Amino acid sequence: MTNVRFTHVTKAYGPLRAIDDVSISVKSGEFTTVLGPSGSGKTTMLSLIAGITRPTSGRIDLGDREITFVPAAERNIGLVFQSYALFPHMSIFDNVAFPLRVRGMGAAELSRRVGEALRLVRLEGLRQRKPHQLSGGQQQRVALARAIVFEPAILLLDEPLAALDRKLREEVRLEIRELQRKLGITTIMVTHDQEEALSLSDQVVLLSKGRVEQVGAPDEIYHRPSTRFAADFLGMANFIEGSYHEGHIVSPDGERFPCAPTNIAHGARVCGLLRPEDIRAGGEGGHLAGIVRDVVFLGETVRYLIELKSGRRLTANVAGARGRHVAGAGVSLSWDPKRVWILPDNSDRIPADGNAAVTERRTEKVSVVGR
Amino acid sequence: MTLPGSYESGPVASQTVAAAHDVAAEATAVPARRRASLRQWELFFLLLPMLLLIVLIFDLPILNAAYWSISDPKTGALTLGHFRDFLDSTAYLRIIWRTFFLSLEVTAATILLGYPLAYWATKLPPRWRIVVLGLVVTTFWVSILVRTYAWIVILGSAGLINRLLMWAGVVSRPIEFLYNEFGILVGMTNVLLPFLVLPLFAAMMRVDMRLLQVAETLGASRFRIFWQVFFPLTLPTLAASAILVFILSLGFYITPAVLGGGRVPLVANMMDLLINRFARWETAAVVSVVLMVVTLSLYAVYQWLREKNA
Ligand SMILES: Nc1ncnc2c1ncn2[C@@H]1O[C@H](COP(=O)(O)OP(=O)(O)OP(=O)(O)O)[C@@H](O)[C@H]1O
Ligand SMILES: [Mg+2]
Repeated sequence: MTNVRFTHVTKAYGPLRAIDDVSISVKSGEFTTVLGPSGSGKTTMLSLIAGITRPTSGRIDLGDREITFVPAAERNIGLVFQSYALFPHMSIFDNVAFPLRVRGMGAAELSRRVGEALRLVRLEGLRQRKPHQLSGGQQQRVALARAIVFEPAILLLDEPLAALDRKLREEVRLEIRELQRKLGITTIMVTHDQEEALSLSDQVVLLSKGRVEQVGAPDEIYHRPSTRFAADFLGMANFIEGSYHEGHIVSPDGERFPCAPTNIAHGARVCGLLRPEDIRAGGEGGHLAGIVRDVVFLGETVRYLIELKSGRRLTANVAGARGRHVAGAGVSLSWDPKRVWILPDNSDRIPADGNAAVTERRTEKVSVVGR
Repeated sequence: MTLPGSYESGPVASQTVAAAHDVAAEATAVPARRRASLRQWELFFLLLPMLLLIVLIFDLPILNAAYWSISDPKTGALTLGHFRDFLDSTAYLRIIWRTFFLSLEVTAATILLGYPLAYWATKLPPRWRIVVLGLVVTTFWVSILVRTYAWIVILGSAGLINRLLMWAGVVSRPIEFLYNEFGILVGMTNVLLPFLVLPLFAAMMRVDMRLLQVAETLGASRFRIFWQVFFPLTLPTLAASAILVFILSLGFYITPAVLGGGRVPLVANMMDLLINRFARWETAAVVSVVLMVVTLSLYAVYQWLREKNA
């Protein structure tokens, strides 16, 4: 069942299109992350759903109701701002009770519900405190409690973890995911951290300059990105450009990179994606030989920068930090040919440059994934 | 008593400034570690002339007045007699009470006019905002005397408003706006409005828009958002500014004298009479001590509110 649907939604600020002809849909009960670089329109997208801003054109549906011009107060959507936006003059209890008081709930029921919400985020003991007496992580959880206490149809989270330090971020991230599963509430979370998006969500919406770059499940969008931008944004990527030839991509220098056989015409220009963790660096017997130029110790893995004969450089992340190669050593590279993903859109053009072909491709893709 | 003091402070001041220069010259020659401790001395010497000035011209006379209020003018012995006289006379208390009440009215009027004005200004496009605030601030630039007489032109029996009303046939005889408490109220409110509007405007601009937006998503109506989120967040500034306006109203002299036409004596005018007409210095001292204690207490509340707000 579909819960939120955007149909050709545009939000323009003067000449700038913060959201540019976006059509997506989010399924009921799913956890969706909206991922994108700074300024790509993520916050604008949430504001449109929450009703804080109105679209310039297009239509927004919530369940089977059109909400394009429904006031925010009537949408029944829980929103957590990046800055948490707790009411500084109210106690934690009053903050969480606010949406219930607005709905005219009786004192006993209200007290029970607030207590329950605070217990969910493990903050029962702090109900009489004021927001400024709490740590960042605690404030974040109060904001979360306030956003779910009135049982909204959807929960919107705008970079809820950005202000937390790394360790706390991982902790709260898990908590949010657990809470979402427990309540079964449709959740849309904004982030610019690809790791967060990949680890949390059922569906990732990748935005770039106000446009949807790709929509898909985390592993799909990571391993089978449709554009270079998507491939690059979701993690480290080796791009192999050349012409397709009998299960190989042949670079202009004549280096042959094995890939899975496809029905692409021979001699067609293609761009393949090979993730660093899919490359093995051994002594001999690989597909290609190279020289280690740089070694970066990452803990669980070692990252090698390897230069091929042609001067092309590949990045390889190799698990098992012991017995590593040293800089200057010769290595032989191999990989499972099936791991080379040929980008369907072989262009390094930045998206949203007004190219008609891009627009067409994107709307088509979105409708496939969304409905 | 103050005059000799202020004459003397001239040469003293220039000497200390010269001394401060020497110290400063030395300070540049010493290593950085020692310079930090010298800074305090430099600062002290630089501030010394100002300090002397304030002590000699303001503080000592005030203490002197306080002393007068509790001493016998002939023998110099301490006595509470002046305070007793003051309390026995209903006239003084009535005037002080009237001053307080009028100050309250002025404060209420500035709040009723100032809060909506400041709120309206925050809603304007930035360019219009500057215009409106500019108009509020220009009242600071016009002499209080000029402004007060301007009200006579507007509110007088042959003034703009009365002529307009009579021309329109609303009234047959001019309404008496002036030379009563109403006239004073109008004049003082006009003078004091900026003291409330400017801090309130700043406080309203500081209110986080996202708080109002989030309140909306939580289901609150505009009415509720205003009264339960926006207003409480501006309340400390409103209270602090209102106290400031109240304190300032207590000491108004020119406006009541001109717009009250001498018919509505307030504390400041009473002091004028006590000193310049009746030469009752001790009673004047008592009144000023009472007023000062009240003002300082209110000022303490004002500071407390400001700090709580910051
Ligand atoms: N109220 C506004 N007026 C004018 N331009 C705006 C407004 N709000 C957003 N924009 C512009 O719209 C674009 C998208 O903004 P948005 O806040 O949605 O980005 P974002 O993806 O959330 O970025 P970040 O990761 O930095 O939060 C930006 O270029 C921004 O400058
Ligand atoms: Mg944002």
